[in-house]
Amino acid sequence: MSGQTSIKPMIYAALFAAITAIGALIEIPIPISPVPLTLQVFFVLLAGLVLGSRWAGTGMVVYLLLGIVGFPVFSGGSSGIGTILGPTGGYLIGFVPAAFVTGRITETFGRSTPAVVCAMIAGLAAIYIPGVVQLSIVAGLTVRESIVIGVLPFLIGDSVKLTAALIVSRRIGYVSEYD
Amino acid sequence: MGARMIFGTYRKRDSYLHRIDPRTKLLLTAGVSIPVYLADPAGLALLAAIVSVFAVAARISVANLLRGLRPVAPFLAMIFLAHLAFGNSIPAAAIPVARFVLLILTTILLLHTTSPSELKTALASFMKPFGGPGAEIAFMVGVAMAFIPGLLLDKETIARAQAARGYRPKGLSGFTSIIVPLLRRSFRRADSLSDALESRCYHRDAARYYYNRELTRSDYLLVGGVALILVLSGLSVSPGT
Repeated sequence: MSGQTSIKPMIYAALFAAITAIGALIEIPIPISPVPLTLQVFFVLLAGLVLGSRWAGTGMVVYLLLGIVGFPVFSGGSSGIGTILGPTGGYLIGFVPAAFVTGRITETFGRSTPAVVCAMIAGLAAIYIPGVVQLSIVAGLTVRESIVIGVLPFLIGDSVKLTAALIVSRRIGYVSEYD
Repeated sequence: MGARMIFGTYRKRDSYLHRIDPRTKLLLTAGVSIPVYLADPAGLALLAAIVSVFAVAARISVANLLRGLRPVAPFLAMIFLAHLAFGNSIPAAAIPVARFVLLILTTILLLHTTSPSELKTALASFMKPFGGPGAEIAFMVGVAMAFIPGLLLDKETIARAQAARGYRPKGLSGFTSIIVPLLRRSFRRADSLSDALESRCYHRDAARYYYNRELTRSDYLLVGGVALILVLSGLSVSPGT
């Protein structure tokens, strides 16, 4: 994202906020957990890869604000500040550092496949850490219990999303190349 | 799904809560979450009573309230069952669930009585103290809102175009075959929007104006009244229950 234009990255970040919102509506049921797989995490990681740290992080802030102003953009079509403060809110808050970290690592270590995979794993950690902390506090569970219901059921799905984000980011390129 | 995404849950009506300033409502919804998390069962019952009074004042049907809870129901059930599975008593399992239900109900009240554009304006005015970056983010929220209907339409168009050519999406490659054209198309939308804004001399640092109404006496009365009740319910607070 060179310094030629200042508006384009803003628009792309807003676009990724909108796409992440739509990703929440595409649900894939998984048998082990009552919480369905959604595509938000896929778009969070993709945003990091495509937009880079600063604008990916900003885009996710915009995504959270879309939810706060009432668009049904969180998983299952829920919305509002109640969802962000509720048991699953930590994951949503984690989207911001996740997109940022994923972008930051690829900016630092380049876009080789191992670097991109490591960047996305770090991004996932940035979602799960606040997710588990808030789940255990709000739902009154211990950290271990929270990990059992809040992390383990999702790991297989996450590895699929990670692979998909890698493939898609290779095919669409990076926003800086569109300038 | 598409229609729900575009219109949200807001219903244009005339009720006491509809007339209250969106900033007041946003602030109250956020503020109420604190006692919701701290209150003991008696305090929770009081808060539930307050929420019911407001639901009546907003003329929201019970069916609408329940519909708003549906997306979070599986997760609530999971938390409840997890508590039981890990050997906690039924009250210990029910209280966190009750807190979350109350939290969601207050959000439903807000979203039923306040339109997205009102909320966007309220958000922009809360962003003012953050100066330029705040205005930038508020602007981006508006842009993202505008993108959503077009993106949903694109997704339908691409899926139908592929179906018309006899393609049946399956597995990971089926997924990328929808997502890649959707992203390419949306990048074109983003490009033409930024070109349009630039050719009209939009500048990030330029001032923008949002329509804001004046806070009235009824706003202050509501905030004061609710704050009083919350302090009263706070008297029975015992953190950690």
